[in-house]
Amino acid sequence: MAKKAKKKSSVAEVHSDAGEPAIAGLTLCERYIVDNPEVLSGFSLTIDGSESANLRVSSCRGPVRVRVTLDRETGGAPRLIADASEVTDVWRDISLQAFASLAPGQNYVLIWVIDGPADDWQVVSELSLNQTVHYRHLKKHRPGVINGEVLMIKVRAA
Amino acid sequence: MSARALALAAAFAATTVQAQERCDYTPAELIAEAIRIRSVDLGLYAEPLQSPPSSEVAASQETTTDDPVPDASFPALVAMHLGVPTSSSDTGAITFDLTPFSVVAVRDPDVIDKQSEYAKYENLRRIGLALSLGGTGEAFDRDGDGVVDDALEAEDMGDIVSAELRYRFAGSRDRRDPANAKNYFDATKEAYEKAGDAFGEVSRQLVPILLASAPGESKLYCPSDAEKLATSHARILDAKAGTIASFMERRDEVLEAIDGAIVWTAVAGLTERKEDFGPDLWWAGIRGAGGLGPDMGWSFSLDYGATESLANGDDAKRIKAGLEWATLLAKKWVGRDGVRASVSAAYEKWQDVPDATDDDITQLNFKVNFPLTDTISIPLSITYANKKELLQDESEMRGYIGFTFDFDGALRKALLGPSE
Repeated sequence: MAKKAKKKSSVAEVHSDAGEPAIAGLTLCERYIVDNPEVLSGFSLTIDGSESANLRVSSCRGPVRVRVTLDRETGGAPRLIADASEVTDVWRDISLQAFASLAPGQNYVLIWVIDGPADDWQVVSELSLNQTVHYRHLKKHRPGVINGEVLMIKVRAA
Repeated sequence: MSARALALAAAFAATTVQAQERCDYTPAELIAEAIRIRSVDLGLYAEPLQSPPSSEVAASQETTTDDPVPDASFPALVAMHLGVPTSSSDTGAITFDLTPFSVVAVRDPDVIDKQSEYAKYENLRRIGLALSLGGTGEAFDRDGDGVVDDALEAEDMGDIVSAELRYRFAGSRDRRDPANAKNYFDATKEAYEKAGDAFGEVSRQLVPILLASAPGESKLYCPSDAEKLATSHARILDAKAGTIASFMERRDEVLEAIDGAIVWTAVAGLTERKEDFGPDLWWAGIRGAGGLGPDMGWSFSLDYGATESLANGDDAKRIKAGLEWATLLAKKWVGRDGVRASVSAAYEKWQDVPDATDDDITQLNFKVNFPLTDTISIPLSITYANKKELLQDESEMRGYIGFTFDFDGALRKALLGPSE
């Protein structure tokens, strides 16, 4: 299911580069997902810590902020990875180099909370390991709840 | 696997997914929904009332008789291109509302989706144009016999043409305008960070359990699963529900302030009528509007204008000030648009009106607008005037009931999708 990450500057460019006509009624984010289907990986990734890990996000229909934390399954203080403000349709790269320092054999939960003032924002998130997408999801704003994404990160035993 | 996880797994396994249930919750969405359910159960948070669509242009010229003009929109230009009006008033006039930004959006619909592009057109969205065709003319002495004749209804859309140009020179209610977005992010930062940590703590505890017990490979859940989770893991959820509810409340407060921000608009307009429908007129003025809390607001207008003399004399000049208070009622029964009720007052001072003994008039109006569908509503209004001489109608007290067709909401839904 893993797919190569595309190195483009925005969801819009990815679509227009494909040279396909606009799909009526879909947002740019939805069209991006039509061209690049979601990869959910069961919301769980297994890593060995040596990978180059990267999360990138892009929004449609309004600016959002994305706050990324990493929590050890067994508890303890959460680690703040990034607090990205005013994310727009231009891809924002968030390095996950913190993965390199995770304890082998332990499980972690990666959380990114998304928020913006518009009522109908959408966010595409892509998590890549060594340039290969292992998680791609289109998150749409749900009113009345806190909005975010979670992924279980399992670190292989040494 | 713990006994609790096994119990949850059994509960999910026993789930009979009902046909109408859409099972697309990610684990994060499942947890968020379970937190919301617990927050509501604990009385920490209630769904806020939706504010009415905010007008960027404030009250119309006829403050005592018309609703505030809806903001010009992207669907409106498409509607005009297709020959479909955005609204049809109870006087029979058909109104098109549009902005130059609509032209940009029609040429490149992606500017709606791309915030980096949308932000560039902030100034263009300040400008609006309303074009009104047809409707009812004015009662006046058409045949020169000294008796005022009834107003005629336009048979051709070109019989009565009215246009108003608007420029919003202060304030914005657009949540996507850069200044409003920045204010929002700044004002909610602290609560957002605390809520993020709280959500992380709940997720840390629940995600391993959920993933171990989720049915199928997709790991997607149904709304009914959120209710089960809220029951089975209430203790974990309750510990952080208050922090997250505080953020949601803060969010609502800040958005309400943006939605109800005071906006000021300068306008200039004219009405051209064919001979039988009354004199031509022009006006210029300032309009203001602001919120007074959920589903409540005020609007103000101050206009100066002139009406062409039909007797080759000086044009009759008028200055008019109007103030309106409006609210939405009965939303529980009629949906998010509610029943719009308004009370307004207007004072007019006239000059160069031939044969008039009074040169001023005060009017009070009460209006209720009952929505029947997305496009059809029934306005009911009662107007009282302290004098009748300057009125187009003969009576100091007038009542009106009619139908209003508003296609803008339906078009918006069709073109931009339903708002969630």
